[in-house]
Parts: sequence; C-alpha cells; structure tokens
Amino acid sequence: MTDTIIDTSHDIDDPNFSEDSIGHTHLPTNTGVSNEKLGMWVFLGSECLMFGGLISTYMLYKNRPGGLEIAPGRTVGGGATKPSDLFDIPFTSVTSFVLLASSLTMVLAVNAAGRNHMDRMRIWLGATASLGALFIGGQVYEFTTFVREGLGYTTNTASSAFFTLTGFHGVHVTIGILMLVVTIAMSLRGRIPHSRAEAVEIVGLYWHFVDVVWILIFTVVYLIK
Amino acid sequence: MAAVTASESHGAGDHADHHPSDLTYWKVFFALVALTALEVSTYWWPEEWHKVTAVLLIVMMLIKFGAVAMYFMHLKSDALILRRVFFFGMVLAVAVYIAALGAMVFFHDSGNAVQGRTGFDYPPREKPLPPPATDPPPIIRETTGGH
Amino acid sequence: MALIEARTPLALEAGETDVKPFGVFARPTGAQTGWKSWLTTVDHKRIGIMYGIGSMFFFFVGGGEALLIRAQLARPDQKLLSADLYNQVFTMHGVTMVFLVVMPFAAAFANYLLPLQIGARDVAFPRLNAFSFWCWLFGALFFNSSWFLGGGADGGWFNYAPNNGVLFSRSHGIDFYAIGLLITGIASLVSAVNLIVTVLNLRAPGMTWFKLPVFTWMTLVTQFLLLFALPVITVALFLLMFDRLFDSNFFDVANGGDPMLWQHLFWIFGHPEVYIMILPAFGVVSEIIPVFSRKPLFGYPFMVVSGIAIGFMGWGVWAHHMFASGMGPMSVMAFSMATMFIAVPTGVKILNWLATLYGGRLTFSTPMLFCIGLVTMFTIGGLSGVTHAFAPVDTQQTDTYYIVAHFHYVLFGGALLAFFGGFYFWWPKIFGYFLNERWGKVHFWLTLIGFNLTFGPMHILGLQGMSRRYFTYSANQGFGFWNMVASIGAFTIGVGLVLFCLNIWRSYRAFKKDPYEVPADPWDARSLEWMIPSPAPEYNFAEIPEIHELDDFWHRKYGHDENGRLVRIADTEDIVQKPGATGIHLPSPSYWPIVLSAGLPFIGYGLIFDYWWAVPGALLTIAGFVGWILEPSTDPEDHHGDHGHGADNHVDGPGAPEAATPQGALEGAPDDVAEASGDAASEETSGD
Repeated sequence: MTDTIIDTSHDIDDPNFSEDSIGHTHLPTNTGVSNEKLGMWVFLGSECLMFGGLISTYMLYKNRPGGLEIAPGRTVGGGATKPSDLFDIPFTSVTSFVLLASSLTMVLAVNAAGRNHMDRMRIWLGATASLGALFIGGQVYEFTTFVREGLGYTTNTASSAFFTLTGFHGVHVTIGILMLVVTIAMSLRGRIPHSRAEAVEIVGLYWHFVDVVWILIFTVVYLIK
Repeated sequence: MAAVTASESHGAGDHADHHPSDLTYWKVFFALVALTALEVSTYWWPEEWHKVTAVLLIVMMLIKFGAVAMYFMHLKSDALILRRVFFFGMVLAVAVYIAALGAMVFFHDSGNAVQGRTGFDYPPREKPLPPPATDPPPIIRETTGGH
Repeated sequence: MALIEARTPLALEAGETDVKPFGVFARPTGAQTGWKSWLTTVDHKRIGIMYGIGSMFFFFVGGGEALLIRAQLARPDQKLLSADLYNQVFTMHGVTMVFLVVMPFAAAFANYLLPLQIGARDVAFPRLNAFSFWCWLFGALFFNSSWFLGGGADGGWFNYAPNNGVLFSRSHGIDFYAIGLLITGIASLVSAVNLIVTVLNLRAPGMTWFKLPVFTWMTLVTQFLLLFALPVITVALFLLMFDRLFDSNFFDVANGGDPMLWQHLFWIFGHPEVYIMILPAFGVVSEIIPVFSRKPLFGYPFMVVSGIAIGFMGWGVWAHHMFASGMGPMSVMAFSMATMFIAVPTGVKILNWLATLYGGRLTFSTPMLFCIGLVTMFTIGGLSGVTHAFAPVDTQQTDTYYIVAHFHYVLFGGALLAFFGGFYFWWPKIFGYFLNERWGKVHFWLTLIGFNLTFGPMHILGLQGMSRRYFTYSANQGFGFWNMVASIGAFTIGVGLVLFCLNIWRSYRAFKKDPYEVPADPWDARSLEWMIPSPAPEYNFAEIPEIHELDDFWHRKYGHDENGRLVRIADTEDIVQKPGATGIHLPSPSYWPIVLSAGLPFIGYGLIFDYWWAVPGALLTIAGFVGWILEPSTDPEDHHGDHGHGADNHVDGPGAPEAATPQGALEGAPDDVAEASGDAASEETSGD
C-alpha cells in the first residue's frame, strides 16, 4: 500500500494535482477505493453489530411466550402465542426468493451501469425496487396475519422481539427502495453519467447487505426450530 | 498486502472490467436458489433430525452469505481493506453476541434454563399466592437478579 | 443517501450548470465571516471549534450539576435537593459528562487535528462532517430540554432495567435519554465513518501506517470502537424506547423481560465507550510530552500497537461491570481474567510516557503540566481499576463511592486533564494567540488540587461503605468530614474552570490590544499541523507535504552530527508554509446539514408528546435529504480563479533536490535520538 500512494503518473508540481486534491477524482486515494465506497463498507460493518443485537434479542426471547401459570388462575408474561407457532414457511420462502432475486437484478444493474448501458441499468434498478416492494408487501401481509391471529406487538417478549427484528429489516428494505427510486430519477435526469456509475454500485452494496441480513434472519428465525 | 496493491492499479472508473460477467451472476443466483430450496425443504424433515438439520442450515446460511458477499458485493475482486472492515464487523458481532447469550445462559437447554431465572417456571408453591392484585401487576423482585 | 452525493463537480459532466434545489436556498456564498458562515460551514477546522465550544457549554452544565450534587452531600441530612431531583441531577450529570463533554471534546480535537496531521485538505465527507456536529448539538439540546419538560432521566447514566421502565420512572426523562442518545449516536456514527475513511484514504503521499502521529492512531482506533459499539447501544435504546412508548416487553420483568439483556447490551457498548473516551486523551498526551521533552516518543510502535490492543481487548471485558448481577461463576471468571489482561497495554503506555520523559530536556509549560497530571492521576485510577478485576473485591466495592472515585480518576484525571493540556498546546494554532502561561499554571494547580480533594476522599468514603446515588446520609454514619472535603475540592475545580475562561478572555484582550505574530511552530513541535501558518488557513496546506519519516516535520528541522547529537539542519521559517495561498479549491458550504439535523429533535418530541410535533420534523428532514442529494458537493461555479497559482506557494517541494539532501544525510546518521522512527521505518511496509 505504501509505495502506491506516490503516484508517479502525477507530476507533483502539476497545479491540478494540488488544486483538486480534495476532489476525489484526480488524486488516487491511499486504498485505491473511492471514499464513498469505503464509507459504505465501513457503515455496513457497523450494521452487522446492529442486526446482531436484534437477532440475539429474538433468540433470547423466542421461546418465552407468556401465559405461564405461576399460581392457580394467575398467569404472567402476556399471551401464550409464539411467533414460531404462526410461521407460514412456504409463504416466507416465496418472499425470500423474491428478495434473493432482487439481489440478482441489482447486480445486473451494476454491471449494466459499468458498461454504460444506462437504459438497461434503469430497467434492472426498477425491477429491483419492484421486487423489494413485493417483499415489503409480503411482510405487511405477514404482520397483519399475525395480529389477526392474536400475536400483537405487545403480546409477549417473543412477539416484541420478532416484530422489532423483522420491522428493522423492513425499514432497511424500504430505505433501500427509496435509494433505488432516487437513483433511477437522478439517472433519468442525466445526473449519473458513466463516470459516476459507482453510485449505483454503492446503492447496490446497501441492497445486497439487506439481502444478506435476510438470509441470516430466514435461517435463524424461521427455519431453525 | 499483495491483493491491495493489485487492486490499486485499477482506477476509480474502470472497475467494471474486473467485475464478473452477467452469466456468472446468473450461475451464482441459481446456486443460491437451489440452496434456499434445500433450506426450505428441511422444514419438512423428520423432527428427530433437528440437530443435524440445524447444523446443516447454518452451514448453508454461511455459504449463501459468503456467495452474496463475495460475488454480488464484489468482495472477491475488490480491495482487501473492504473485506477486512466488513468481516471484522461480522466476526466481532458473532463473537460478542454469542458471548453475551452464553452469559445469559442461552445455550443451556435452549431457553428453558433462562425461564427458570425469570419467574416463569417458578417452583410450585405450597401455599397459593394471594389473589391477583389490581394493576400494576406484581413484580417478583427476588427472582430478577440471580439465577 | 449521502453516499450517492456528488463527485466533484457532479453537474459539469451531465451538462447541467446550475442546481438550486426547489429554488429555496441559493447556495451559501463563500463568505468567511459572519454567523451565517458558521451555520453553513463544512470546514473541518470550524466544525472542530464548534464542537469545542459546544462541549465547553455542556461542561458548564454538567459541572453545575456536579456542584449541586456536592452541595447536597457536603453535610449530613441536607435538604437542598429532594431525593427525586437528586436522582435526576446525578443522572444528567453522568450522561452530560460522558456524551456531551468528553466525547465531543475528543471529537473537537479529532476534527481539527486529524486532517492536519495526515496532510489532508479536509475530511472525506465535509458535509457529513457538518451534519455530525449539528446532529450532536440538536441531540444534546433535546436531551437537556427534558429539564423544562417534566424532569430529566433519573436512573443513573446506565438506566438499568427494570428501573428504566415506565413503572419506576414515570416522567419523560428516560424517553429523552433514549431518543437524545439515539440522535447523538447518529452523529457519532456518521463522524466515525467519516474519520475512518479520511485516515484510510486521504493521507499525504508517503504517510504510511507507522508514520502516522500517535494522536491520529488513537483517534482511528477510537472511531473504530465507536463504529462497532454505537449500533449496540442503538439497539438497546430502541428497545428501551419501544418499551416505554409502545408497550413492548423487552425489559418488562412482569411480562418475562430479562433485565440482564439491558445490562449486557449497555455494557457491550459501555466498555468500549470507556476507551472511546480515554484513547483520544492518550493520543493528545503522546503528542505533547515528546514536544516538551525534546525527545521522540519512546517506543512509538509499542504505543500504537498497545492502543490497537486496547481497542481489541475492550470488546471482551464488558461484563466486569456486572459482577454483582449474579451472572454465574463461569462468566465472572472469564471476564475477570480478560480484565486483568487489559491492564497490560495500558501499562505499556504509562511506561512509555515515563521513558519519554526520562532523560529529556523537560519544559514545564502548562500543556506539559496537564499531561504529567494525566500520567500520574490516570495511574492512580488505573491501579484502583485493576483491583476491580478481582470479582470478590469488586463485589465489595460495587455501587460504593470507591467506584465513583475510580472512574473520576480515569475520566477527569485522564481524559479531561489531557484535553485541557491540548487546549493550551494547540490554542495558538487554532486561534492565533497564546493563552497566558501564568494563569494557565494557576488553572492547572487549582484543578489538580481540587480534583484530588474531591475524588481522593471518595476512596475512603467507599471503603467506609457509603453507597452511590444516595441523596443524603445521616450524621452518625461518619461520612461527614470527607464529604465536606470532597465538596470543597469540587468548588475548587469550579474556580479553576472559571479561571480558564477568564484566561481565554484576558489573553484575547491582551492580544487585541497589543497584537503579536504567532509563529507557525511556536513549541518547536513534531507533527505536520505545525508546518502551516497560525492560525491555520482554511485550505490547510498550500502544498501537500510528502512524508519520509515519522515526525517528518521534526526531521526537516533537525538531523544528527557524527556523534549522534541533535543538530539543526534548517530554519523553521524556511520550512513552514507561508500564508496567503490562493487558487485552492475547497468544498463549498451547504445549508442542508443543519436543515436535516434540525428535524430530528422534533421527531423526538413527536414520539414523546404528540405525533403532530413529528410533522415539521419529518418535513425538515425530508427537505434536508432532498436538498442534499440534489446539491453537488462542490459548487461548479465556485472556482477560485487562476489555476497555476498553487506552484507559486511552493515552499518545500517534496520532490525538489534541495529537500532531498538533508534527508539523505539523515539516513546515514547514527540514530539514537530518533530510535522510534528508526524502528518504525523498518516496519513501514508491514503495516496496512
């Protein structure tokens, strides 16, 4: 890393060199990765700890429904239904496939942007956003079903933990959809030229991360009994 | 070190060159789909396999995680520093939370031991408790601290 | 969102010339004066100064709360504060001092110094940097507004469950605590990402890992700790907020919630937080002591590696705050052992500072005095800390004043003394005038004596069995004398602080009356920030220096003769950069950081009181986002004139032949004074 910082292709006396060294286009960064991309990865590293905390909370509480009788006629801990009693695995599998497919469309959009196929990029981005919206729709459906079957947010510790974990993930997906929509809009206005195609890749990193988190949640929360 | 230096020779604009082709992505995607299908199928596997199933599920989860991170997120071909930062966070999260759950007696009999601490599986009493109080619900104070 | 912000300049390539989002705000003009320029600035130096002023304000708030506590405890059976108010005062004192004083003091130094020390023009994301500051400020104001809206948080700074539930804390204080800390947490997280990327990406040519100044290193470790610790407290605070506002059951014992979950989450964050507060102070001390000892820092690589080791090990010791919670013998043993280990790298640092002082030509200036104060006081606090690693001892000491004494010795005697030293040290670089030395020394001695009077007796009180957080005690308990001593000490510290402010004002007036020129390098210092004029120009470096060694600036001034003696090889005036460079392109100021962050407290009020409050907050936030995205980070029209000007300010061209000669001469010279840099040089390629 050390020797490549001094980029010999730049004349040190070149006025452009010193003038634009805050600008990120002329001066190669120390790591060779742009600030924006590195920043996104650093942020994603931090997000691991966040979802880790939420998943751990769910793990701790998942087998603690209420309704335990500590004395005749006296129960504590809220309702007796656990989230895992209501899981609809086939349905959740479909939404998981949807989110997985959105990762594919996202990466295809990034590749299209890298090849300067902007129309194709927008189509793939649109597909990604739609698949994400479909996933969110599935989650809304799942939540309403749970509530209808008597498992509300405040029912017991297990339900609170479940809704918080999946809700946080849902909020992340929603933010991702907004980012995708903004990217498409900016691209339509010509503000994402080929030289800035990396912006699409950075949005993609966030999107894939959300997908990766769902891979964890799907296994740890839904599938492992 | 070597990987960083190699990746640094790429400028900011030409990274598309070392990204895999669309075909690779489709292949990875179908592998992921197949794995997910296998994962889902474990739901209908016999109950007594649950220990093997759990291990298998975690292995498949890790493979899927790695595939998305390495291929879709380009960690395979990108600068080493990105891999380090991200996986450091990931490993730290796993280590810290497993330690925390361990300290909260999570791994001992999957939650039941925890319940014993919190007043749920309170040992059966000889004398019944007084009738339910009005609100707020009584706090069983002496059981909150220890386990 | 900000990550898809513009590259320089975004608009040009797409053919757009002018971007005025909504036409609401024209881009702020580049004027450098006036209050408006401070609101819209993205200059890391100004943001650092604002962090400093903000935390100084909250230092007075938190200090006032501390004096209230001491006044209440000065004599037995005092009635100055009610029990409830006392709970609020010590809670707010703790949270204020941790999150609104020590952390932002560190952020002030980090913001101001870090780009200067690595030879950068600014941080990686200047607008995000401004956002961090405003977000922190609004979060801090939001948190403190609880005093006027029904009372502050009252469960101690850690707000243990189940005490933090609505059942036991019916006011909104803990809601303000949860949301306020979430907002300041956003600020710290953004700032952590920003500074990490800055250090990883924007170092000057030749600045390899083992040539970074120690302050930069320690700040980098701190930012990584923040990066990974903040999401944990974020989770905990969200769960607490949902419990209190939306009736969830995470910490509700009656419904099966586990209070231990809160303790674990809090301390997984809380212990790295301890190092988040102390490591920047260690960095400051490691900068100041070598300068006033006229020696390189002893064992630079050990200093760096021990800092990193503290950062790593800080993740494995959190449960030593919970020995009394009944976790079980296995956990207690594991965390007890890990805690004993973490004393090792800290000890390495203390010994290295002592070795730096040993045999040096010491100048006991005010900054140096504060740093020696840190080394001694922190050692006392560290030693009492090690005793807590032993669980049986800790069980005796938990929740007594012995603990209070311990953490004030490491936090006040550690972090704050170093930051005061840092103020005296960098003041001329930042503001262009010196603080009065004599007043500074009085300030130091008052602080040191007051500090020891306050917190020394607390060891005794704790061993006598006086509990923390009791709002009063009765006369026959025998705590009266030492409590009175502690209260006198606290007010002595207060006088010292007032003196510091008077010093600032008097020194400024003296400077205005009789202006003098502050040289670029008044202390004959070692790191890059002393290479630029004082006060630092907005563009930092007219010419980005090329780095050849650790303490490069020092080695441009000094070399060795054949006997290994230090000889001056160049005049400082010839090396430092001259003011008045033009033609340097800087990031443009922006309104959106402050707009975006101004919305967050309203969302907080909305959550606590009435959802309607959240409407203006949400509108402001959305407007901030939209404006931010649409605005290129650098205004395409904001060119500072002629392009060829940079070369005229060419002071010490790094590649120029005349600069190469002394460097070459240095390499052949015996290398005992500069042993640390010699060690570093051999390791430079192994670092990443």
